[in-house]
Amino acid sequence: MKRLSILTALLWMLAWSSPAPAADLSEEVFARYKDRVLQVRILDQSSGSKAGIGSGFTVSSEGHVVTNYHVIAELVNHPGKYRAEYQREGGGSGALELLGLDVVNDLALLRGAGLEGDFFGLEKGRPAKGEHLFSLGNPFDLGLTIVEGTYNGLLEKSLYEKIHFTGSINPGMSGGPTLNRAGRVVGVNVSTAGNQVSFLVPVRFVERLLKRVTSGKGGADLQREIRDQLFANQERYMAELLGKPFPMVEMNGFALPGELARYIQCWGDTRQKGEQLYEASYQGCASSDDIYLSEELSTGGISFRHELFRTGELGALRFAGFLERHAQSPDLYMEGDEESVTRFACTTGFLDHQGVPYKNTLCLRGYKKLEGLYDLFLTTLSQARPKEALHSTLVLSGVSFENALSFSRAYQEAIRWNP
Amino acid sequence: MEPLVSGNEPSSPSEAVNAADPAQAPLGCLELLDRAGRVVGRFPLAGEALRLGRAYDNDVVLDDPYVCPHHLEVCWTDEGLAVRDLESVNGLLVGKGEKREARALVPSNGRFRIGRTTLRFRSRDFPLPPTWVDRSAHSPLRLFERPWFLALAYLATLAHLVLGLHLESVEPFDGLHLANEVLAALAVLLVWAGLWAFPSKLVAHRWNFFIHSGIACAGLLGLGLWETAAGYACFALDLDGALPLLENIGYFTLVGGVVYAHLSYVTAAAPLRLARWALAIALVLVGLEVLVAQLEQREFSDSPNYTFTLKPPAFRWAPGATAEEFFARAEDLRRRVDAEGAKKD
Repeated sequence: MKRLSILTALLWMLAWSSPAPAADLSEEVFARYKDRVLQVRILDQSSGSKAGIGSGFTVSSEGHVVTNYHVIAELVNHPGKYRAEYQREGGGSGALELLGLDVVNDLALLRGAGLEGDFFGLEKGRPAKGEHLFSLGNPFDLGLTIVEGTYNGLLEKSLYEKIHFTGSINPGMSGGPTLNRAGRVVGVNVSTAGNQVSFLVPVRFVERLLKRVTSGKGGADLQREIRDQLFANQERYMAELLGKPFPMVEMNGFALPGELARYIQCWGDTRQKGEQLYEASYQGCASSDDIYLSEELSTGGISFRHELFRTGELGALRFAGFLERHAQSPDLYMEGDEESVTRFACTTGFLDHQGVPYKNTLCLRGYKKLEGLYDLFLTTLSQARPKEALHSTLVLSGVSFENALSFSRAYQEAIRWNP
Repeated sequence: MEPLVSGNEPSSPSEAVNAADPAQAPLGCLELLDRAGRVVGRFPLAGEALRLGRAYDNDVVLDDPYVCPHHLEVCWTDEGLAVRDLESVNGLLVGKGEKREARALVPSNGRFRIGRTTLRFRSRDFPLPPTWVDRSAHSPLRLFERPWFLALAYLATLAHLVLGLHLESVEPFDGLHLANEVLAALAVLLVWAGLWAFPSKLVAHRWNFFIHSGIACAGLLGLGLWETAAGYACFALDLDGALPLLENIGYFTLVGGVVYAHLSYVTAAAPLRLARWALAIALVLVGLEVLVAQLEQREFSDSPNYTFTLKPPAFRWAPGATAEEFFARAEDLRRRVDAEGAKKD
């Protein structure tokens, strides 16, 4: 009997020490933590109807709630028009008050009445690659859902630090927590590229925001806070970009700015459409992510595109006519509405650099609510050879005037023709 | 309703001027006016009295149902021309207030009305304006009446159109596409010429269709050449910003010229008057275009809008700026966008 008891005890210990199946763990994580995850609703003040939904979670015993900035951006962009409230899975709701923002990392900190009590702990260390994680949130307003996935490290080619999470995060789960097996938050759901490729904001930024707000910094003038964060952010990455010579690529005798940083990726090809009597080689480079400000405007991105046109059959007049039309309608995707940005002001003229003639257009627009930040557009066209032309365009968004000017000039001066 | 007149062989305005025998010369003329005040009939007045009315036994028969069969008598007195109402239903109305009178003296250039018919008396010594000098024989517009010039205008316009389409194309020659474009342009030209031919027929009693189509061709050619020249000038001198202004100056001049030419084949009005009409029409058309362009510019756009000319490098004349000079212009751009940002706040 005693032996049997020992055997039973050994079997019990064995069972306890072996990892539980993931499905069981999901069940356990969901059951244990579902009350700490909330649906965040943005409601129209006048009609009371839902204008947007997302997820959030409690991070302190005082009722602090974390979500994404893009979930609650309307509160900042249209103060007085919207209000925020939370809804718990098991019932219960209340008003949310916005306390602080980290717009660069897409985070917002709020406080909800009646949320004092249980909260999530924040994981200090970084998960191991392949570690099993659980993401919670309210996809498509379908109710609280748990999604299993794995940690795949930090994105290497991103301007803004993000975790690559292999799991299906869907709209509505933004702002929800992603937990490790111990139930501690490792990241905040933020975006997806589809096919189980999802991204999380590392939890260290949550900790930083919580510390800043609870120490009494920030929150008084949210637009000013956003402006200061964006200004500091662009100063950081622009200093890095301008602090070293531009890495160049070769395109048929032209040396052109290439992958300027790890977060700027370039793609290119050579094409001849249909029966067109010219050939176009292009290389488009862009930073992989930007900063959400409102539905109409994202910022903080860099993109540029080099196009090399060659023709054997078009005469000088036809070729120049084609280039003129092409340069007047560049292949651009610019965002922004009248409320947030001014119109572009432009100047056009000849520029000669190192013996190569260029015809340039330089355009600038300002951010109306974020003083001192600008978008810049530069297009430069060179007919250095009779049957060949280079057209290069640069778009900078959300940078200071000084950085816009320094970068665009450095970009122009970096372009070289090696005959 | 315009009154129809029959009677003592009313002469046309041009005939009335040619009074032949001074002894038999009339003392003046009684002029029948239409609603716009234009003379539609003229009756020389000798010393005898005249009777006006609807009846066929009158000296002047007026086909106006508001006029009585025997309505009015016109006679000469020591004081001048006198008119007397023959107890008609609607009476004799004289003066600016059209006061009904049984009898009245009519000074030279004076008017009166019977029924719905307005008449004016002008004495034979009524002062005439100076004779117009007819310069039409030497007007370059007469070229449009010459078949060889019309053919040249058609051919030059066609050549310009085909050349323009060829220069705009980056694909091999496509005859069907070219024919479509040419036919579409031709249709527009013919409609335009037709729009002018219609008033020509109404006013000048001639269609002048080929002349109007020749004028339209010349106008189209002129506009195309001006646009091309303006583009090259702006490129050469590095003045792309001036291109819209230059284009508008060209539109205004050419539209004014084309309208003037069309009008001169619609009406025989004096050149100065035609020029005023042409100026007014050109101002309205170009003004509307400028207004629309201004309104479009005021509309918010999230993309940069700019004028950019590019021609083969051999046409460049202006020197290029250094990078430092070119990027220094950004200061001005900043001032402009900051001013707009501040205004909206």
